[in-house]
Amino acid sequence: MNARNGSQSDTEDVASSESAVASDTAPTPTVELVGRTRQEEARLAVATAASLVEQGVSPSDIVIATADVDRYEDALTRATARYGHTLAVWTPLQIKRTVPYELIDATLRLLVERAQGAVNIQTLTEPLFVGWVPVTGRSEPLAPAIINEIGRGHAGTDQPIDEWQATIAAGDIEHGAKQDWMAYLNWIAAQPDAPTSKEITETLNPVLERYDEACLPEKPGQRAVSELAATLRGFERTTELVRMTRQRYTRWLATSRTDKQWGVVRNLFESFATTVPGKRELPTAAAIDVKEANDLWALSVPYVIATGLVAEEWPTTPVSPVPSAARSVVETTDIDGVRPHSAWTTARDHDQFEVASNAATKVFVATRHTTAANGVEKRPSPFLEHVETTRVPKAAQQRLITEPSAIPEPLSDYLPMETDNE
Amino acid sequence: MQHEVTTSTLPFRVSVGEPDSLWADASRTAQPTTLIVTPVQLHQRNIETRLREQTRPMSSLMFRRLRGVAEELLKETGEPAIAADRVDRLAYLPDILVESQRPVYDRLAAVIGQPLSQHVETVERARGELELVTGFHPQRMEQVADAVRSNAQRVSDPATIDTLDLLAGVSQLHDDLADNLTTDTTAEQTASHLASETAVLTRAIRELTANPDIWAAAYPSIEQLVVAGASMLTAPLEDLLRVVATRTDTEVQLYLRTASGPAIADHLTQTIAVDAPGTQGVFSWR
Repeated sequence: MNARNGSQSDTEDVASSESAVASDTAPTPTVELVGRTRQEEARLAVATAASLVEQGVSPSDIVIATADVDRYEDALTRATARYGHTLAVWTPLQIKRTVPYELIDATLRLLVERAQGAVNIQTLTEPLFVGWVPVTGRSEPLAPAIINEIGRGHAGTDQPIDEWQATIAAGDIEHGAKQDWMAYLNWIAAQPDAPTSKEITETLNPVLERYDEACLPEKPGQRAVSELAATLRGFERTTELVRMTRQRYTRWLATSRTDKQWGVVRNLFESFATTVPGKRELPTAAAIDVKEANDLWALSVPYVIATGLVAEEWPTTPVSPVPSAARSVVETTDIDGVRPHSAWTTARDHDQFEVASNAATKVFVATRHTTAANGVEKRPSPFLEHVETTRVPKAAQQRLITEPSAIPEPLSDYLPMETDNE
Repeated sequence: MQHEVTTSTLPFRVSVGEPDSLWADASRTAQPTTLIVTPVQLHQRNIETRLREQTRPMSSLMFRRLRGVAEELLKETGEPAIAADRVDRLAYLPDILVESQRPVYDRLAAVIGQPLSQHVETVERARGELELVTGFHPQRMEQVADAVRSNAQRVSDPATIDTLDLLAGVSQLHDDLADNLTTDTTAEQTASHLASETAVLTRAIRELTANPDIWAAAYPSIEQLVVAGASMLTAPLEDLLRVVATRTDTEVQLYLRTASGPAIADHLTQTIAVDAPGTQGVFSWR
């Protein structure tokens, strides 16, 4: 029926976490904290986590969940610095759809294929399409027309780089385009076949740096602001992924787990992108996870703190190029196999809210704020209407923000010690 | 507890809530017996984490994305196919929309914005949404069109005309994308490129309907197919579940999510299988 039912089935497992001890038929309680601004809300969320840790809860038993990590990452990070904790922000997985990621991925695929011998024209042209820029000379990527001219002319061709160099050198191509192509092929030829870990960054970092200089600030007018923001974030994450890849590769080489191969580098890079979106693998194991609520699906965590339970944010208002009249017809008519797209309703956002509250086994803390940056009032999320919550009194919230060592009621009822004594 | 919704007309099991049976059934087997399809890769990791916490073996489980299943089925037909992604499609759209000079694209521009080449992302979004909703199945598109028409107060209702033009435009675009990708496929490529993941899936459904043996060939040890984690049950996914449930020896279990699930389960009990599942077509109305 609602969130509470699901959490009962959560308690059926004999999970190693201490929360399972408390398993009975009682629903997981919900505590509500309300800040004035988003920043104050973020402070309340982090202070709650800090105070739980202070009381002996392991940071790994706490997750801060939100519908949109981008919207809260800054505020949470600032709040965390204030309380002397570390956050591991699990960014959504769209990193693979950003151009900087694609650039490094395409470059690695090229190097893998070259190490095996022949390089296919498609593999050869891909880094160029996604923004490869030579280290010296040109200050912008090659025009698609120039890439396409070679790409179409040699469709299906597989040959080693030295033969590509000969092909292009002998080809009937406009002078400037030929120079650009030769610079590219020479760069490829100059890269090591079997990279040391140092050579990974020596090869990839200049590619990212040149991309940064040539592509990033240039085209704000051409793309949606959100897409540019995603690209900028993608650039940062990709840089980080390269560093993580190098670190792990160094370790593998040192322990003779692998020999020097671009294929291994590429696999590492890709698997970091899919499985370690945040900073989990960095040496700060005592970090508190910040996750998109959806990423908690099927998980069970003692303390879940959900931020951003504000109308218009969780859920967001559905938008679609499909006329709303058509969307509601689809929603209300029984046509075989035809149901509304998840972007047309708030059902997906509601699922995510349920996931966050179902994942919590000890207490579900819901936070929100009441005032937008421009002073406009922000109403609570409609999802809270169906949940019985206990509010922390204002004065207690203030004390929590100033001094998180004292945990306010009713949060203090859900500490591990209390339960054990029962 | 879980809410189980099974009706006599539905050939597969539907439950709303967590994939509980996985926690109970995961075991140590020489060959995987349960094929799990989740929409997000992280969800696979979560299932594994959950089972590890319970120290349960999980060699009975095999994880795939939906696209992987479709590709593996097509591999068994001897005519493998892979999907173009959004980046590929966005690269093709301007040429198709501008150069083909089809009147249907002029009408699409009237709905989405002039010139279309500046709105390719919106066009692609509309194509993607209507593809998941209808699968571009001819009968479904006709039924949606009929429902929109009969809902309107008058024949010339602008929202109705917009919807029909949109459906006509994006289904034509999907078809043109397929043609363009086929033209650009080189003889050396071992797998053909299709317009989208759903295009690969619908082809797999057609092949599976014609020759159900490819399922067992692709998944010889699989006894159960579990789909979990999605907030939406797309038309093509429903078709796949029905075909696997009725034409193969594998049992099918669908887990829906707690908020979106009840409406989907309800809809499933009110509707039946479509004829010729996996068919894709172009909708036209004027």
